[in-house]
Amino acid sequence: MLNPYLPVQTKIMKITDLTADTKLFRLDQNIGSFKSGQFIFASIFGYGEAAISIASSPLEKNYFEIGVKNVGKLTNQIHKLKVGDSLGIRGPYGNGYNLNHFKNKNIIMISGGCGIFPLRSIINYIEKKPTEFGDIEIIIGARTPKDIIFKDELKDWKDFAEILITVDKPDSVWQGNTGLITNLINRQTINSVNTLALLCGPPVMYKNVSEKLEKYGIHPNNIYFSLERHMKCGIGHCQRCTCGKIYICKDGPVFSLTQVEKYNLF
Amino acid sequence: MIKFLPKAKFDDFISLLKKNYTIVAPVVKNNDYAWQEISGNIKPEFSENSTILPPKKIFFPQIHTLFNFCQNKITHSVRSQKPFAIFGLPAADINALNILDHIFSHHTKDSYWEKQRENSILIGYGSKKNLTGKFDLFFEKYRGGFLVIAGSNTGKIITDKKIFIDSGLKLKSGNFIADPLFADQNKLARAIETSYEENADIWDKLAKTCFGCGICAYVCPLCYCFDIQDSVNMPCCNNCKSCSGSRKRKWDACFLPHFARIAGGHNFRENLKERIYNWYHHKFVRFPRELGTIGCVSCSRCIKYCPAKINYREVLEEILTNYS
Repeated sequence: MLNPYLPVQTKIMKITDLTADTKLFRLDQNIGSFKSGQFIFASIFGYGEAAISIASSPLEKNYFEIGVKNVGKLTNQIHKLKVGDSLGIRGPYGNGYNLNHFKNKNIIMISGGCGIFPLRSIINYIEKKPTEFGDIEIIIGARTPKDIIFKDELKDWKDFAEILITVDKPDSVWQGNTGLITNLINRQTINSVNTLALLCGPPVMYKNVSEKLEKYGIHPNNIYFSLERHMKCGIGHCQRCTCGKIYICKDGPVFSLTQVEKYNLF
Repeated sequence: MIKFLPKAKFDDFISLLKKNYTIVAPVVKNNDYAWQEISGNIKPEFSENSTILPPKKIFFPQIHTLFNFCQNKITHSVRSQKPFAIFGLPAADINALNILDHIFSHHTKDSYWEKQRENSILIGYGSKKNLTGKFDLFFEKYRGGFLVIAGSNTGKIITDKKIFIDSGLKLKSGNFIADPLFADQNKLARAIETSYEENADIWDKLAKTCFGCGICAYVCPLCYCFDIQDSVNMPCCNNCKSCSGSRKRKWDACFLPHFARIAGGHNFRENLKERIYNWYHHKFVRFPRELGTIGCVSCSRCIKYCPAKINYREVLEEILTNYS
């Protein structure tokens, strides 16, 4: 009988330094098919496990990628790994985004900090199949210009998406926007007709941004969040990620605003 | 057909059982009872009393090694292969184990629970009045001995043995007595949700009384929150590059402050009041909606062992009264 707690040692094919404390790990594709918005558990024996979103498109057959920020014991150890080393992986878990519902729609993606990682799975998908979708807008918030995660890839994304960036603390050379992401949400930037909004970032961002999106006409059924909880099993048993009736691991992590309000998930 | 075992033959039955099974039964511990493997001079104590910790600890131990690891390779501990006979289960505990069977195969199968359960038989003892779950054998005191019912093929093979005699009695249906507190599960669920939405006094009262210790979760046959942690052995030599150790599953409790805290410090259930409500919500609202059954078998352990003397039955009755 399959043991759901056994991680599979997976080879690291490539490591990209993204910012001072985040790296992108490219791993051998041995998790089978997955959907954007799903997550895996990354495991190192002796250091534990953590739930981490898949950051690459499901169209890639040979690899999948995860973005890891160095914030604790486990992620610190993950950051010490080299190409050719193995990382324990189990998954994929979660409901993911239903991309079939997104076809022919305009999509606004709003990302705070590391929230760009799961959204990149969709961005990479759209990059390969741009005619399946309407207008794409990507709004990115970061603490400082140095913390903007996919600086290099942004240049490629500009080919098919409009990109807006804001930082909390500019440096001396920063020419772009400063301040909260909510400041970038306005009538000029939001076309609500036939539009979905996908949000991913810190909980504090969600309420403020979604209120504004609703105000500008995007229906709560069409505003999606990727929620986070402390997870241990990923299969709806350990009870850590429950919120009322909902398990963030198996009913989520992707929820619409309608669901968030119905089940009080914030 | 119900069988009969004379009291004089009870010890013979235990010896018979020991040939094929490792018996786990209640044993006297201070003034209480605890599940223990019966070997050597350890004497089981069969009674209507419930044990401190419920039998979930036999299949879902407080600290359970999921696997050992060394140099990135996994090894599993191998236990003795004789199957277990859990003997002395009150009806409520049998009911709870059946519900846990459902829980640990719901959505994804927990292979650890499955293996342990496949390798065991359940033998009930006491009154069958509240029994709804599946079992292998059930012993009920009767006129100088025990009425013994086989609830499975394995049980029937045992009761076919000559040590048992025909009682001449037939199984009667319809003896099940449900807990009246759970007569209307939908109403109870709505009452609990409404009381919290309306910020009823009961939740503030509970938050002032409750210690948040989690004892109720540990002694409850249907609480199964857990944590997973790695433990590491001392390095075997100076050249050790990777660690050896084990990944363990440990009991946890949603009452504890850290339970809903995430990296970065945000805590989704910061206040004790929220954590208390979560426990009641899980047992009496989410359980029936998700699994079709209330998350309580009325064993009363949480009432007996709560240091703050909280009685969940009084809490639910107050909520239901206010709702009406």
